[in-house]
Amino acid sequence: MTDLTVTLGRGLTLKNPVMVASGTFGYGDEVADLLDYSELGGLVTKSISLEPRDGHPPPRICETPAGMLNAIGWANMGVEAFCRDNLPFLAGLRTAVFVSVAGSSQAEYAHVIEAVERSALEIAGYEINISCPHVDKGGLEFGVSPEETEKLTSRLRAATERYLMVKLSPNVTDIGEIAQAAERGGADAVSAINTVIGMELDPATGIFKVQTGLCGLSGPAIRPIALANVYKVSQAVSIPVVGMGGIMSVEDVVRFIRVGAQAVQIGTANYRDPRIGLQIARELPGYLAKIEAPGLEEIRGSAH
Amino acid sequence: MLLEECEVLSNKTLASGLYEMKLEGPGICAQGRPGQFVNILVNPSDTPLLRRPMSIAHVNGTTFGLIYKVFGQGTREMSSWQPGHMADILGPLGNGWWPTDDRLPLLVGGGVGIAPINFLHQRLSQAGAPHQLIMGARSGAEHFLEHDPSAGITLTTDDGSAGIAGTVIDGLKAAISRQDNQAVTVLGCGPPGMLRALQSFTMSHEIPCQLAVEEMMGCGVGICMGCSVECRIDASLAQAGEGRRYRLACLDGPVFSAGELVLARD
Ligand SMILES: Cc1cc2nc3c(=O)[nH]c(=O)nc-3n(C[C@H](O)[C@H](O)[C@H](O)COP(=O)(O)OP(=O)(O)OC[C@H]3O[C@@H](n4cnc5c(N)ncnc54)[C@H](O)[C@@H]3O)c2cc1C
Ligand SMILES: Cc1cc2nc3c(=O)[nH]c(=O)nc-3n(C[C@H](O)[C@H](O)[C@H](O)COP(=O)(O)O)c2cc1C
Ligand code: FES
Repeated sequence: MTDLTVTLGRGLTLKNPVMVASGTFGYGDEVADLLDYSELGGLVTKSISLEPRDGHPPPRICETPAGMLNAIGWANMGVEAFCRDNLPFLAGLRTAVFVSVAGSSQAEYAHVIEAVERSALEIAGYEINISCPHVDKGGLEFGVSPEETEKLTSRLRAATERYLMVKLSPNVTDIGEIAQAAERGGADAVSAINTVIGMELDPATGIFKVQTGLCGLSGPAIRPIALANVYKVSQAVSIPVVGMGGIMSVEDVVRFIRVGAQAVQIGTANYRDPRIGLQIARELPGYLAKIEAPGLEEIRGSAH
Repeated sequence: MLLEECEVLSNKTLASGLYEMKLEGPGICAQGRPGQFVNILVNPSDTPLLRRPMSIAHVNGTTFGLIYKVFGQGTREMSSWQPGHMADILGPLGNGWWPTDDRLPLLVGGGVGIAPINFLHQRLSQAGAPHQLIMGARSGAEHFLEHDPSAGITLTTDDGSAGIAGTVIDGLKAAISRQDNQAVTVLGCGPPGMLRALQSFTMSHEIPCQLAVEEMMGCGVGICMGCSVECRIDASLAQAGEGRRYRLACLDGPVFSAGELVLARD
């Protein structure tokens, strides 16, 4: 059987490259009836902030051609309830668990990590959602500025010995520059992409389909954008890149590996079928055999 | 909750603009309770991308039924399914209506809200539990039951072509007037305007009421946080600061107590 394990540095090895993405698998235990999580390469939780957050008013989502828009507004239970109610379950899973961290200041991100560290429960590490508005910078997202990204990353690097992955937004002028800033700040990996800015409205009334108007597009519609961004990021940094955006099938996973991704995350496709991640992981050896690839390493970055 | 491959047994017009589909689904049938729903993968290709939520409208043995209206691409495609078609269905999902004390249940359904109300009516009838059923539609052609107040079935139509001319509130008042002071409870499902009317009627008459809401759903199982429903909060939960908070239609609902719902939007 083909070896699917993926080494990501800092002593972290995934049993296969297929993880599930933040915000698309809840806090973790919601779909435990449907699948054996230990077959997943990894799991990233919903983004967690220091205090509980209400999130945006409805409607928060809308389907679009081959995709969906969302503005959830980081609705979450806050790190205290998360550590008490969800972390014990997650820490018991035989898969790599990453807590996704959100914040509106550097200190808030750090406090979330400190709270998880204090719980002393075993997780693989953190994914830093830098697409959060920075209150001290007029609500501009951390992730649009290389300086802010580097400062935030080095601050969080000091807060944990665990794996630190910085999740990049595609809504920037030069994603490679932001990726390099995360690398300089001490990130073990970068993941990309978060959702693409989008909008939909009713032509007859002018009413936005998602309450906030501006919102985030995901699903197969963004896959070409995601591939281009992962390609750029892979060229720009020497740390591992975790790719995502519109993955629906094993073929899509291989596309991301070929543009340089070490591992991948599945997002919106989980809503169609929460088992899709492990199904794709099961199909991967067969597909690699079909394209006569001995393993992932041999095809990584082979797009030309 | 389970994922079941369900065979379509029949799929026919039930009344004007309404379809009824029967599916084989032993697991969903064994677990399903009135007010719960299933989430249907319409097409194995990427479009439509998301599943379509549908209430369980009845259960007979290992067969369950859906009653649905064709709205857009997903339901149009569902309406073309022939017997023998295999559908990928996730369910049963959400929480149904919960049992009340000894109050007489008044079941109120309008629009596609008649589907879950029909299941509740079926379950209460099978249990021999007294109740009244009030169903509203625009015209008689949209109804699939007969107006029969003596059997506990009251129909209303906007155009007066069947049953009582008026809204379900008129039907509800008629049903209440037939009770000799017995305490009642209202269990309802329907379009937003009807839910608002039921909420204000039951609150002003101090009648306990549980309403099933519909919200856009991304997943149906609590992993997208997309199906938020605005609720009034009690003081202990006031940390949201704005006097309200959001709950999830798919996990916390779709049935909520009428008093906690903030029904502002159409
Ligand atoms: C808990 C629940 C139970 C439901 N039960 C029934 C039922 O028993 N019978 C019935 O006819 N309809 C029911 N609906 C509504 C039904 O889900 C929508 O009519 C259907 O999804 C429309 O899909 P479409 O592709 O035909 O329409 P489109 O307009 O093309 O759908 C576009 C998108 O909007 C979503 N959507 C559209 N309308 C609704 C809605 N009212 N609620 C949620 N999502 C919506 C679709 O799922 C899809 O993602 C229920 C909805 C919910 C949330
Ligand atoms: C409803 C929804 C909620 C999301 N919530 C988060 C989140 O809390 N944190 C985060 O980093 N990304 C979040 N994402 C982004 C996804 O993790 C992913 O980056 C993006 O959707 C692209 O992948 P996909 O096309 O496979 O969904 C969310 C996406 C969706 C659709
Ligand atoms: S529909 Fe996804 S959380 Fe309710």
